[in-house]
Amino acid sequence: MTRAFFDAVHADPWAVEFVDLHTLNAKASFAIEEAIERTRSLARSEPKSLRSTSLVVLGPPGAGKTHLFTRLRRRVGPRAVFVHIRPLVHAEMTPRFVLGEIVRQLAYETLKGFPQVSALVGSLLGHLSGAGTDFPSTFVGELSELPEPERAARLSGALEQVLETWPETDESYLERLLATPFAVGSTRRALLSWLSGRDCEVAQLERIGATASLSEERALGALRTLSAVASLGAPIVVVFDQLENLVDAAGPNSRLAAYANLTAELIDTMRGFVVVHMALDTEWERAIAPSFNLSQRSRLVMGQEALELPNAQQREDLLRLFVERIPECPEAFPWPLGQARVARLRSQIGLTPRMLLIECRRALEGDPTETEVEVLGTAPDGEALEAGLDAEWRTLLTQAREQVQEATEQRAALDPARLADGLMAAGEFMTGLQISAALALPVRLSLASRLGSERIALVQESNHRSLAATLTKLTTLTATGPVIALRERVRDLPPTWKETLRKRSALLATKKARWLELEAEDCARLLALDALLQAARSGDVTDSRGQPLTEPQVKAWVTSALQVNDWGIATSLAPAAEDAAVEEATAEAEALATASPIAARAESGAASTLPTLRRLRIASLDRLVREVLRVEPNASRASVLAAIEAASDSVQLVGRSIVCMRSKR
Amino acid sequence: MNTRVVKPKTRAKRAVARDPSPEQIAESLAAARQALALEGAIKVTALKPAAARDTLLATLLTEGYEHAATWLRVPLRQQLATALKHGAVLSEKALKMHMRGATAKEFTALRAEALQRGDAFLVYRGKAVALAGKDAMVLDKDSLRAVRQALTELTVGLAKLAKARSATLLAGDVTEALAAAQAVVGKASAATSNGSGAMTAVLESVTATREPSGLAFVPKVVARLTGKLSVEEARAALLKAAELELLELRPEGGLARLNTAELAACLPGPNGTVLSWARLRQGAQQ
Repeated sequence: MTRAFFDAVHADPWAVEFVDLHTLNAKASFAIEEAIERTRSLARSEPKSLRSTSLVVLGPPGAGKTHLFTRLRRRVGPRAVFVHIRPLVHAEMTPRFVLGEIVRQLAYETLKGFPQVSALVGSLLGHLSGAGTDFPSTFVGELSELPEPERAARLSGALEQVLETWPETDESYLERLLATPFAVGSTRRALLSWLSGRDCEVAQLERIGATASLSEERALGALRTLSAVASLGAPIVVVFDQLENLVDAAGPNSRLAAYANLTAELIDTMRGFVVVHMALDTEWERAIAPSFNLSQRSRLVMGQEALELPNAQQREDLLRLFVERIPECPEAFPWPLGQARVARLRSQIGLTPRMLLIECRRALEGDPTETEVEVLGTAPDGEALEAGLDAEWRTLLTQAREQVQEATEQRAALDPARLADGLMAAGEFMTGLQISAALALPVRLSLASRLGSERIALVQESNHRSLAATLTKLTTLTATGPVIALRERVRDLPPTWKETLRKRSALLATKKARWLELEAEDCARLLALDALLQAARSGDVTDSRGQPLTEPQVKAWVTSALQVNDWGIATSLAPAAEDAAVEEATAEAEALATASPIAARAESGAASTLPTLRRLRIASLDRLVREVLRVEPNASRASVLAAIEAASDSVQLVGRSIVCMRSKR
Repeated sequence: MNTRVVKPKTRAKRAVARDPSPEQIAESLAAARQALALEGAIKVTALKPAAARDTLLATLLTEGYEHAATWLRVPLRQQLATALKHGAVLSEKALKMHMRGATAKEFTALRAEALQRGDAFLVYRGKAVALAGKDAMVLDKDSLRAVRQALTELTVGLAKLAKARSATLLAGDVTEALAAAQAVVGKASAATSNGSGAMTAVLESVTATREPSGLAFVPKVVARLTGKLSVEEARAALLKAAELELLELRPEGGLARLNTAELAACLPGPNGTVLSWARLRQGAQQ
């Protein structure tokens, strides 16, 4: 255990370092474990009558809702697959979004060191072969060593067995799911990408023998297949956390209604899911539960557990556990708290585990203050507020940057739903702009400014055909009003996508469309801001002294400290930038679509292009652009191309997509 | 010659012995919980079937039961709290009998800890020593001092009488001294009695106003007590009940939903929070 444990006062559902007092909230843990066990048992004995289970877990901020997820993941481990979903705040959640989240987290490792997808498939195959479900990784390992034809035959046999039990299973989906643990590298990534319902690149589709990505219409069937086959070995536990973020204080709570419809459908039509809804107790009682109708309530609330706060003895036990984890602890407990402080914490009413952790941290930092119960409405200390929010923001931004970096490395697009959520969060702080959710894809958002309204589409497609189709739809939409097409800059269109580029030119030629590129840093900021505001609403943001901050306090800090108006995306969206952006995008598109892929733009990035190419010696243009972007985030495809053109005597462009250093003679 | 006939077990029977079904385990767990609730402790060997003993034991331990040597028991602190509930007064010998599954050493440590934490009081009843629960009507230090002061003249007079057998006391002096002592005791009793009554009313109110999740909104709890207790008395009784761990008071986690009247009914919590929800703890529910 490191000091970082004390700095991260908010539970990480995928944490490696973990302190657990098993007597605390044993009842809630037991209820979920029992549901998992019942699902597995029923799937085996009466598969036709298997249904999904839905439980509600409530608690105040810091009581341990997310911690409960971590505990179960560790205790039940590979005997169940755990999925943690933070709801979309602004956009509506769809079955495809849920499918994407489940499959994304199937790639996460269990504590036994193998991915959850191996646990799922290994347990299923183990059960179907009669060998038991206790050692899924061993089972997958043994099958991996078999010759390919023999393994394929075994998998085919398993597929037939499942189809006999549940004929409604999506066969091609199950076939690829069963193959995933045995695939490696790019093939596994391609399989997971297809299974998650994301738009796959042509190369990925070819690699896995698919002709198209999983369509929206097949998302429900895919979920049904996943939930049923998993229930035989490792049932899927889907935890929707921080549901209070769906509460619309001023509105008609339409997002809550949509959430209730989605989860009721999951519970009604899927077999074997264990769905857990986690929310703040106050918001559940006063806003969430009252917004459900009787039918929804009967489906969603099959069981309800309110997390308990630690009693005096448990408070002391928790403190002891925290202190025991301090590396090279110079003294025994009650150091660093002291007897008096421990006695006060034992007797103080209303303390949550998070508050105790913060007390420990403060004591460790040598803060001698013995804060007695503070009076209502105590204003937080300005410096502590600044410091706490600054630290929280930096943590979230680092996490988001890592997420963006990982997606870039894997050549995967960031989830457009999450980006849309982030844009709406940022929209609250953009002067003169109003961003709201839109009704139908491909348009996700609506932007209102002094010049009127525009519809925003996040065109994150990886496949040129899908993107071309989306661009065609957008071109049609321009007849009814202006549109903005947003795409990550690192996923700029390659010159080989001629038809797609032509469609983009056609879209921009309508003069009612803008093509905007999202910088990697802007993507990270949007994701981080979305996470910060969600945490604020959940009461998870504290100042540096551990005092919880309200949502308005956090928003006020964002307004003053983050300068959202100066972010690249904000200036791009602002009406002032409108004309210039259209001209620039049109010119670039025309240049790309007509003849030379080399744009004559001298921007940053020129400095690192040649050294990067020297290192790579030969690479695709895409790869070179990606590598340069890692070194210089402000670089662009155009700047790299300009650098290549400038060094044409030492660099050779083979065709339009391969670039290499010329050999010296 | 005594020949022993070994009855061959069928495969099915062996399988059952080795691998009890989840239903069997659930039944055994329910039986064990019931026995623990009734007896306070059971022998670990009483957990049947034996093949599932480890599983049963592990599950029960996660529920908070304690394992000591050969016993599985309700935590000793909880047993002590139950024994001394509602101000019960028990001699040490009687109390020992209530502590199921505890060794003498554990009992001594538990007794010392309870006295130190104020969960129990040591009281003299004549020459005998007994333990009283924290709800018992006992006299605090100030009251004891006042009683001693009220009875000083009387006790001094009685002591002198032992030497001078021909002397006596005025009936009026004795009555006056006893009345003064009685007044002190009456005042203390009334205070304790009022507190106890308020707490009972508060617990009833929490039970009556709780939502399906088991949580009761503090302003509702307080409002229900209108006419019986003032807001201040209700809040004090809630706090006392929380201190006694009969219920827990939970911090508000909502989006600034409390209005001024509701805020006034709630209690201040740690770190500037507001305690707006109450939830009965397991012991109090029973």
